[in-house]
Amino acid sequence: MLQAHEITKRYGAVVANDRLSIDIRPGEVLGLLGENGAGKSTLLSVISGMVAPDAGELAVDGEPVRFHGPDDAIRHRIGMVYQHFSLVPTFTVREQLRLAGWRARELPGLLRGEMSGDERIETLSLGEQQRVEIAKALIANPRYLLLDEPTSILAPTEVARLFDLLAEIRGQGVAVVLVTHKLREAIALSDRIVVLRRGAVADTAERPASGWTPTIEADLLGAMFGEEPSGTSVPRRPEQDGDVGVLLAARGVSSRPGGHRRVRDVSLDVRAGEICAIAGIDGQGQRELAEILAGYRPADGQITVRGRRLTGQPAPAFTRAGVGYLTDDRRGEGGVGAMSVALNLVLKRQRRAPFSRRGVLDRQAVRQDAARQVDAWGISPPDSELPMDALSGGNMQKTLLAREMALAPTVLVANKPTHGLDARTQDLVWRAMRDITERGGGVLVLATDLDEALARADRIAVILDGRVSPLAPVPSTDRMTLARMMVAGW
Amino acid sequence: MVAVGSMTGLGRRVPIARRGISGLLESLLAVAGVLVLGAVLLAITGHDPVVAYRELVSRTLLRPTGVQEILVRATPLLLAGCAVLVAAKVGVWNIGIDGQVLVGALAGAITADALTGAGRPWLWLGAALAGLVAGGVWGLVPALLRARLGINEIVTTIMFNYMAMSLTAWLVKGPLRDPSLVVPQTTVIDRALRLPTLGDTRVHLGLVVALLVTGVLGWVLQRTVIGYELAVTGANPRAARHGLIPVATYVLVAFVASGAIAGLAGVNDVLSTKGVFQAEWNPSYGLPAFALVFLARRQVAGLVPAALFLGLLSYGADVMPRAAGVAPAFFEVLEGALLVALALGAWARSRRGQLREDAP
Repeated sequence: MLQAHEITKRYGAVVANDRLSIDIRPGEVLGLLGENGAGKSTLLSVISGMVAPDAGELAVDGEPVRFHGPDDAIRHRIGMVYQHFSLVPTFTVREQLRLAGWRARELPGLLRGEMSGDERIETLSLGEQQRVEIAKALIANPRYLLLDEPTSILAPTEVARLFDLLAEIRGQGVAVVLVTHKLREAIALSDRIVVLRRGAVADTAERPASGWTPTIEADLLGAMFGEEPSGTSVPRRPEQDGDVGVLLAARGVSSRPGGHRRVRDVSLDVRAGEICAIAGIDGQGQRELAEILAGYRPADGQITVRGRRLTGQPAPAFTRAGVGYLTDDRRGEGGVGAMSVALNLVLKRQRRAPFSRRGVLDRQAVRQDAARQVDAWGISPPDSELPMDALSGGNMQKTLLAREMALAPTVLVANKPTHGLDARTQDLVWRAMRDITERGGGVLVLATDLDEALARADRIAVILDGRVSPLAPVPSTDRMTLARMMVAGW
Repeated sequence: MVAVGSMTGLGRRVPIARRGISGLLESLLAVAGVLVLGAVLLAITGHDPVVAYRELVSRTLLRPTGVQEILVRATPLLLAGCAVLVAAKVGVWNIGIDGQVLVGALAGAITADALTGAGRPWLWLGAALAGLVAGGVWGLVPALLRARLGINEIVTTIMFNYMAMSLTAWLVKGPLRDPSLVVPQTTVIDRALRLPTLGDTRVHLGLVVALLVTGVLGWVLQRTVIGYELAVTGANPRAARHGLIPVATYVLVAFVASGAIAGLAGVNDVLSTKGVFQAEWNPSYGLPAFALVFLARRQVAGLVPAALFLGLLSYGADVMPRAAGVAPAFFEVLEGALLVALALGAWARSRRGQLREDAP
């Protein structure tokens, strides 16, 4: 038996694992279920020796162990399959396995009949690469095999094959730990399910002899998303009927074929005066959808803004039509870290008056505008000459929001606009978006926090695997139904 | 006219200024470190470092002819530095300076020959334009490959250097050879038609042109909307795309501009010190230009002092063998060590930055 006892791991102010205890029994499939940020990956990293916990201990068969690196874990027969493979793309399968210590001429059983061994890794499908990765992990003959979100990159048919393989591995007496945020997947294979929430165990359930029941599933879901908070809802737009102006309309919008086809056949309307929220767990194609709707990514289907067809037009055309876009990748593509806050604030408006005077950037105008924005949005520290890098995440988001708001968008597409922000800044962001609707604009928010979306939005839908459910008025939706839709579809 | 500061801020308050000073300090430290390394090397090779350095200073900095020669040598280096810098601003490493210098120089020489009867200003203007166009065109292919297909420009521009050497050598040995001469070269431009010297010195009009180019470049990069957009593109292409800046176009334009300025550096040599384009000429401006740009901390204002320092090294390599028996290769070592020292500084800075970023 592998035991983790009262594991605590902090990253700065964030407690990723909070006195978390868990047992892994020989020969079982343990489903580790939780939202993004629940602490699943951290726990796996601790067990596989990748990171040292701040407190708590590990024990194998009752003996306390201390890992100084992944090699120590492998020596104790703990194998790990990461979400991102560690394969050499230009190697053949055989070379890759030899590198990992496979000495036999024949391929390992789980690859036999599937590949000859002479294929180059880079020519394999993701599912095949994953099998090689699993075969690699099995070379050291582990008793515990940990898989971090193994299904996230797989097509549904490949998921079924993976599960067959994992069942076979369990049959050989190896304990399999399956990390996932999809309830349906956890239920399909697990003998036991542990739900993590905010770094601690929120619920544990064992499969009854007769199989999982809807009651247990509902309990697990409840544990995953927590209890309903007492409402902090804000006044919403009174329900209007009939002919309300549609500002942004998508009809049958899908990602272009090739690569990941993440967004599938999405149709939705954002109307004047409303905030629409699309709730979903991470990685369901939110960024792709946001980029498509804001004009940054080409797509199939039809997108209209105020009735004007914009499909196929470049991003500047969307911006001119009044579409704003708040990215979730604030550091990566929102801001230019090495540049001052002032120069970040003027981005997108640099060619407009008063900032451009016959092609010359009017620094005085940039400075004055920045001072106004810093003051109005309470950006701290209140010095627009500081490099963007020096700002905290919340103040960086205020800067990016200020930049979008300065363009007075008709429709704002915001991806995870409040993610990682403190309550006050979250409130500021929602109020800014409400301001847009009060001026007759519309907002589309992609949210990972269901409760927040329910408290603030006028209509809500769910995104799962690139598909978006129909938008429904918030008062007429049921929270548990939405939570179930987020993980199990509709 | 050259604006101090950079497009990272509006250049006014403490943090940016502090960054600028620590950058200057880093450059000075690199120079000092390289000189110390040079002293050690001199000592190892049996020279007295103090005597050798004293000789170097007295023959270069303390004599009018020495100072003039430094300025003459700094002129093409300054232009080459401008060429590297404009590309570096958008994140492109133009290693193809030497190739662009060669095609620019040859185009300038041919044009000058054709315009012999047109009068000096027209000859200069025509040759300059020809050099700009030729250098730009030579940069265009790698630029297109990079901007459209994402093919690494470092590899392609190195290849284009060899192609430029072979092509110009073949042209000068074959179709374009001056039949009246034995050596493979273009027709010599009459001294009276070359760029005039400034007063009674060896320094010529090319220096003024180089300073002018530097000034204009500084103004464009630091004062204009285009300069701002170039800076955003170089600092974070994804943010630039997000900010509606045509990233691919800017990469293309900056790359071609870089080639054009390098071509101009070639014309400068043909119209001043050389007066002719000779086959197998290896300008060797590319490597010093990189050292120069790093020494200048990628700031236009730093290009001039950096070019003067490298001009000094270049002239030192010529006078020191006779004066103190120091091999010319010694100065190449210093140049290389300078690049390594500056790279180490950049590495140390990124490490410090990384440590700060480590916390999630």
